[in-house]
Amino acid sequence: MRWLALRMFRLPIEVFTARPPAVAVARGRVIATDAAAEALGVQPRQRLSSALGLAPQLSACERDAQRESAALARLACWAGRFSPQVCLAPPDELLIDIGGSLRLFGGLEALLQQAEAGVAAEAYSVSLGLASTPLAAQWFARAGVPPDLTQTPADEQAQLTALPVAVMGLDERSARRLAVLGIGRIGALQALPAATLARRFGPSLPTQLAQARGDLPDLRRAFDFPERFSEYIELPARVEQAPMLLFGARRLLQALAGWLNARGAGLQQCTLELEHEDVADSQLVLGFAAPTRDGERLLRVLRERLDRLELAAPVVGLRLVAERIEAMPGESVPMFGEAGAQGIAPVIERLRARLGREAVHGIATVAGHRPECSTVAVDWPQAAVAGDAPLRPLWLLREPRPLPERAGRPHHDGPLQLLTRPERIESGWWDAGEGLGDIRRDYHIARSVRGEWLWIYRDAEGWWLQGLFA
Amino acid sequence: MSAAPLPLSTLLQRADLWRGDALGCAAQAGLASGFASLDALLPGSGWPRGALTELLLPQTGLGAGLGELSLLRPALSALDADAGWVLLVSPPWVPHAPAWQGLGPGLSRLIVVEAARDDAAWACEQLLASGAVAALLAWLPESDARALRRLQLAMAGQQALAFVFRPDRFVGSASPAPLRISLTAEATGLALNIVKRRGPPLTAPLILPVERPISWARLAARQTPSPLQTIAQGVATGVPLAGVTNGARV
Repeated sequence: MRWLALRMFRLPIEVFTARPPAVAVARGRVIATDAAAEALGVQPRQRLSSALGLAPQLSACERDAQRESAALARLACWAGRFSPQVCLAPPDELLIDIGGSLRLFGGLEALLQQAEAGVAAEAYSVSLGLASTPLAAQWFARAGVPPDLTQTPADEQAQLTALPVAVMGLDERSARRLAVLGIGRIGALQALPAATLARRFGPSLPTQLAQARGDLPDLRRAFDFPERFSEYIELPARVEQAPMLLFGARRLLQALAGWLNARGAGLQQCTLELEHEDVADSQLVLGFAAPTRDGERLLRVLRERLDRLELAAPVVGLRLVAERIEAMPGESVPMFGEAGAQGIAPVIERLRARLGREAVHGIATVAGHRPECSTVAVDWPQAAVAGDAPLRPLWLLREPRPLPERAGRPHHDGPLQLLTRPERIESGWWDAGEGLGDIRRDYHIARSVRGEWLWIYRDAEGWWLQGLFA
Repeated sequence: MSAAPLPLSTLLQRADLWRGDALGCAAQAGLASGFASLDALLPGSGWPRGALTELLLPQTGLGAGLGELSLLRPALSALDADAGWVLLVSPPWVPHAPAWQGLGPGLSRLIVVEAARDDAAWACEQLLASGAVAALLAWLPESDARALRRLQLAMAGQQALAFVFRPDRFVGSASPAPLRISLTAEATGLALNIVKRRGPPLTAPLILPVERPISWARLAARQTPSPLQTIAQGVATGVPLAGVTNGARV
């Protein structure tokens, strides 16, 4: 097993969109700083008053644990793209079991790059930790030890002993006592008998040490990917131009793609709800030609829609909801985008986003004799049931066009030459009054003076042009 | 220090250079049209792949129904089922599924895109760029040379066939399509007047017996009206035919 820990070490402040330098505070003390505040010397645990002394322009946000857990859950959804085995480690860490995903992502290095870039795209500061146990991975992430790609189990143990005890996140009293004892490294703790440690610091400390080493099992509760995807983000500023929504929506779509991947599902439709300041929310329904969970594809369709959208009012928040999902096993993230048969689906979605869903369709035959009723538009082309088709024209007119009759012959810019005996089509008594109804027609193939091959018929009202043999 | 002059034969390998009295060589072999006499006139010996083919239809009358799609039928039928998709972009009439069922790879590979004016050219460009298109049939009566050039660029290097139908008033105007054919109806077949190709201009149109609901031979036989038809016409128009009426009275 290979565990990747992601530690969003500025999460408490980064869930806000405050003007830097900024800090998150709880009970008058700094909890987390952004990079600008850190550069000014502001540190966690400082009193807000001393922090303001260092940086008078500091903006302070009261810590919001609810926002933090929502952000962490959204990141967990996103992390579903790497593995369905994702664990939350509140307040600010995620653990991903990547052991089974390495080949899929083209190796450890590629996976780590994607993970880091992905969190950075969500605008969170992250440090990674990689180890064979979840706890050790968390410790490495806290200590800021960069993942070592060529790490052997022995290396890992050696690196573990070199970590400062602070990574264990002990309570203040235990930390002080360890400092008094002169124990600064994990290695020094490991050298002490477990029974003694348990007596002095409580049983959890030796258990943690053993779990980090892999001597004791460390069972983590896997993140429950929600049944229904519904995530909300607040936009940093009021957005008045639709295309500007793309940046915020991208974060939601990436989370959606990860969630779909973890659930082994795809979707054909999702809804982006735009929250406005004073007027009622508006909705944008995104449809896809075939079930998909490809984040880029979701994004392309959204971009097409946003380009043509006129906002009714400025938008302050976005919510993405996916209700109907379809099982879509087999393919995984990087397998998408291949050419050939599947390759048409993304472009069809783009066309539909611009032209409307009905404008792009397949056609299918319907059993029946009436020409107007024998074609039906279908959402996606289907394998046709091959029947013996009688001689039929490729084109029909939307409405049959009346043809004048002169000297007993139908005319269309000149007399028409009838080339076949009449073919009688008499059908449809069952939907008289609601559909096309009962028809009694004699069809002929005819040729006009211009050399056009026409499909015409005669009924009680006269001659009609209905089709063209193109 | 000038570079050594290139031999002419090397230059003639280029798709965009040809001798005035011979056919150019196509960047890639065409798809046989199913008509040997037509293939002989086309560079690449068939419908060009990866390049636009412009088919100009008469703008008088209906501007369709000459057999313009029957002309493409053999080539479309030769497409592999997994070669890709057949697209109809802004067809001027309603496609009649029972007939399309037998054309090319069939309905399971056919997608219809209904788009107006500018959107139609945009849709074609998007589709061609996807690389998943086996054949594109587009009706672009309003598009200008600039739009066609974009299509030409989008599909360069691909295997796709692309046919653009336009009214024949554009015969005289410039077009980036390397092959342009104006279609007219003749008594014995569909007349192809190759307006532009990479090769010497042609003086006479090529007449092809494309597939029709009744054979061209039967059509020809009908051109000389039989005596019976003349009588039938006479009855219909009410002109009395002396012999018959007299006989009836007796």
